[in-house]
Amino acid sequence: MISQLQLQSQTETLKLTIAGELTESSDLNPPEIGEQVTKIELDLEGVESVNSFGVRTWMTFLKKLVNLNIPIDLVNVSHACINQLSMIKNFFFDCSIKSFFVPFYCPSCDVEFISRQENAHDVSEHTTCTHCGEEADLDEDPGVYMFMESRKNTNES
Amino acid sequence: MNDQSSDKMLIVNLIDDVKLNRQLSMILHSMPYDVSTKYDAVERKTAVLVNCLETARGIVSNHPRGSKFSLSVLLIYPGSVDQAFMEIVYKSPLAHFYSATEFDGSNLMIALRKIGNDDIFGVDKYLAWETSTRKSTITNRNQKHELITNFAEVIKNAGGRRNFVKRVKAVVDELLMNAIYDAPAASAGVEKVPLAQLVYGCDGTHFALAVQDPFGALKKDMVASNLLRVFKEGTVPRTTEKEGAGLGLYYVFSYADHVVFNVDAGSCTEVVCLFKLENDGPRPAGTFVKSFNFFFINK
Repeated sequence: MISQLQLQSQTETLKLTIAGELTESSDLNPPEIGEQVTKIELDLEGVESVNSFGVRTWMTFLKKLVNLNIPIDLVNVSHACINQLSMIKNFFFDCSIKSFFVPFYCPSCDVEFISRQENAHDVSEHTTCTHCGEEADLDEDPGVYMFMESRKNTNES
Repeated sequence: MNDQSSDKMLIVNLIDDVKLNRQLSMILHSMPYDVSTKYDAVERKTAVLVNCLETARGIVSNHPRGSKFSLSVLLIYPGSVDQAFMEIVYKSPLAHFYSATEFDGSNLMIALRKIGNDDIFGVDKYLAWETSTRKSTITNRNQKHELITNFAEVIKNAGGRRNFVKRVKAVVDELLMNAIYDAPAASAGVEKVPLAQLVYGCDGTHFALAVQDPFGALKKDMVASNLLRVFKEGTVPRTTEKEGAGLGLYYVFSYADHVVFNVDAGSCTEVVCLFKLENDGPRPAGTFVKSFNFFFINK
């Protein structure tokens, strides 16, 4: 599915969602933003993949939002987006990541699943398999979450 | 022996390794070439092994113009794809390049045969004998998304794990984008059908895929300058309207284990990527391709 940007609501918090594949066909443009908006919340749960052209589209879009000088919270950030951090360090600029999805793989029952987390510090290399109850392994380079944590610390300091 | 085979081959081996030289010599003898460390103009099939770029330049410039004996030159470089190697690729007038972090005799033999036989194309060369391959073709840009979606579905249904599917899908996406946007542009708008073709197969050890376009517009300088920009400036997308983000090859090199470019100038560009099946789990950040080949012919 080609990516779609949707405006969910616009009160004090502007809520936007992006879903689908970020590619050369994506067209992301921030909506008109009312003066009452003091925070932007961007939900990325539905982002399935990002190609090199999609990176540019995304970063151009996010830069426009960042330039508004309104705090931006990224919520439910999909693994496809988090995974970009292993290659594009500035993928999220200095926006704060409030929640994100972490992939796991269970070698016992050969099932892959994701788990929602709110703090990179809490990401463990193992968890209980939601399918068979055995130990499942983190299915991403732990370095990505360490980088998220250091990025968070830098932003807070 | 192939009638189209190269008569003389010059191997510039920048790896100071006696074992590798012996391996090279044995492969070349089996092709069969006479192996020497000195170039002579005698009209016989000879492979010359040298370990210095300057010596190679001298041999190339002394090779008689208009000689009925062709001279193919291959540079062998220790290591994968780093800035130093890409500088060499960018500046060097040589046609063929081979770099690897670990040398694999069978892979080296494929490279030498490709040059020796003047037959550089085909993903099948990298798969075990009689491995069957699948092929998909696109004739316009709008078919790209459907092809990638179907391809990913096939790999997933075949048992590919999420990480593996993500990597091969991303590589196909980037290569198709180069084939259908950059290659025609580099060929000054020449229209050709099909626009691009994807061929893939698996022999139990490797999953191999190749994306081919009928333009043959890719040059080693483009590959090198693209990667050099990333090495020097970091992974920052280009923002000029007319170009891509400039990160596509970087993605390909980050996801594949072995990347091979085959170019017949003006006729065909093929990029072959190999993925070790055992590497289907998470890929550590900063992982880069283990081996890179570039083969260029201009018939």
